Amino acid sequence: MELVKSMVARSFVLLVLIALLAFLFSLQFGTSYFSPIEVINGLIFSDSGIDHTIIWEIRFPRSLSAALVGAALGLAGAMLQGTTRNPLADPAILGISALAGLALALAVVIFPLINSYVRGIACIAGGVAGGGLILILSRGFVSPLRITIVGVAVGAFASACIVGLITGSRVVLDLALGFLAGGLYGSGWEDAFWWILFLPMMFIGIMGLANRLDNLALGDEIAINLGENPDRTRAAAVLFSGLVTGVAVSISGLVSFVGLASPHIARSIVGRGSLNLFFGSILVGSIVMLTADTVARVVISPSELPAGILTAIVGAPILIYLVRSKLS
Amino acid sequence: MTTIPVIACNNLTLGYNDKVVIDSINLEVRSGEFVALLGPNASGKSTLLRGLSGIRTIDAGELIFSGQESSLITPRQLAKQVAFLPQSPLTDVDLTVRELVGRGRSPYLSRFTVTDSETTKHEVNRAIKSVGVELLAERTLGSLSGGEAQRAWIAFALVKKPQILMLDEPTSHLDIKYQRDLMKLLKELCGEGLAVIVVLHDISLALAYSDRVIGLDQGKIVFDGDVRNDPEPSIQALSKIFRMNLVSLPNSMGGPLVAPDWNNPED
Repeated sequence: MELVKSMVARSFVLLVLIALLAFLFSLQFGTSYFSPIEVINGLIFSDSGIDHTIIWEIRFPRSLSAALVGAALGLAGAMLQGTTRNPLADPAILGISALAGLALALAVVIFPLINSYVRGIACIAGGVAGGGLILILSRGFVSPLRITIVGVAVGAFASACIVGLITGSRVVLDLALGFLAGGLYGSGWEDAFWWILFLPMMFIGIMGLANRLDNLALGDEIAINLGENPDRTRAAAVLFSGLVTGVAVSISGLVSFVGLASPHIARSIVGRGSLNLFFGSILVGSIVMLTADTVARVVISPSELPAGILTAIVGAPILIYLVRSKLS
Repeated sequence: MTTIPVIACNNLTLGYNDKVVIDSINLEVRSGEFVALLGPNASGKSTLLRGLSGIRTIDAGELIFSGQESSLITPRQLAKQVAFLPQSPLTDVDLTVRELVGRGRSPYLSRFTVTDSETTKHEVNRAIKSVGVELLAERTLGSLSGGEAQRAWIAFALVKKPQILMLDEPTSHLDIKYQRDLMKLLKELCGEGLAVIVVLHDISLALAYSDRVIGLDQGKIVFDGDVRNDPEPSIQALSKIFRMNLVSLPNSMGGPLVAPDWNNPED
């Protein structure tokens, strides 16, 4: 028992170290390369000139944003998988990302001049509403198959609407490609700012839901007999997932597979229990997103790929592997 | 006896989509009583148990736990008083027996509890010991046999120190030895003051171990009596309920062996 606990603690220390390393790399690599010393100088000393501008004004907020997107998607994926008892659940597959994106696209098309915070709020509202819609359409998240089908259908519908809106109004066409593929091109401090909202929300959501979701995993009747309200807990978890998905989509557009793969990777590292899984998925999601963004900036430098393309390229084989291992 | 019943219901009515399944039932169960609920398929046994345990909301009537009306009790408070186990609790749960039993303490713990307190550890050990699964405590639920898993789940139910334990057909997946062991365990728990209501199919098992048999037919209680001294009236009533002639053979221990008379079905 104590042995297991110390192993879990060690896994978390390891994950935090890898995340910090991924963060450092993301500050180092790009169109120009900086050594770790240069990075630290650039962060601390504002008189380090162009280095300071690149590191502090461009890379640092962008890395913070990438970590936030990964953390939010990882958490949303872990929570949705736990809630729906479906290992293939994630905000993209359940259509929640697309609905958050649709809300964003609508906001931008109707009010082209709104600032990024209002866009973010529109996106969060879209994510929460999306979670609510899928909750209602699948009649309370009881059947994993029904949720998946409803999610795929709603997601396809929302994606079609987004593409329709974008092609219909030329205003946002230049933003559209990056948004649909998902990535952090142009992310700055106004995106990193969302950490201030996300961090307390994350703690409240996780602490409030982890125990309840663990009890729900024993079956609804057992959970009720432990004093739980399964329907309410599921609704809270899905709406919360919608909320954090909204934060991620407002920053990065439609990034796929991070929400799906991170919980599976985290589960194999930090073991059982929702609490471990949620924090593990946040760390893994951040690592995946930071790495994807760094690689996306480096591969065709000085130009860059949308990070969402990389997560899809890495994520697709993981999905296929998961499906195959589930079948066998 | 003048003690307050641990559970009582007046005109309890339960149904699904306008179909009445449990029809105005009145019932009182006291501390230490071992009640067997018998009846044919679809007679409403499982539904009644779910209504009594608060798993499903009642459609009409009154449900009283230790003198307190159910609507005045919070779900967590009710969870401490009443333990319920469905017919086949999950066995593919990725938890060790000790972790599972620890989950059973949830109604006593804050939502923000991360590590087990000394009280929790003590109560978990006590529950594990009370059902004799000490040696299995660190095994995962999925690695246990049906009977062992059943015991682990009972420890899970007992760890919250309920006043009443309700089990829906707990013997259905157990071989005869585990069936006897389980019934003996429940009997011992009754001796310590726990009230037990258990849905059973095996009439002999019910008569051998329970104090009281309730016969349910089409959502109504048609027999409710003490079977310790004279099981004969209950056998007669059950013959009617099951629409089968039942014959009873004397048994050296406990109640009689009751079997259907295959040659003489009543209908």
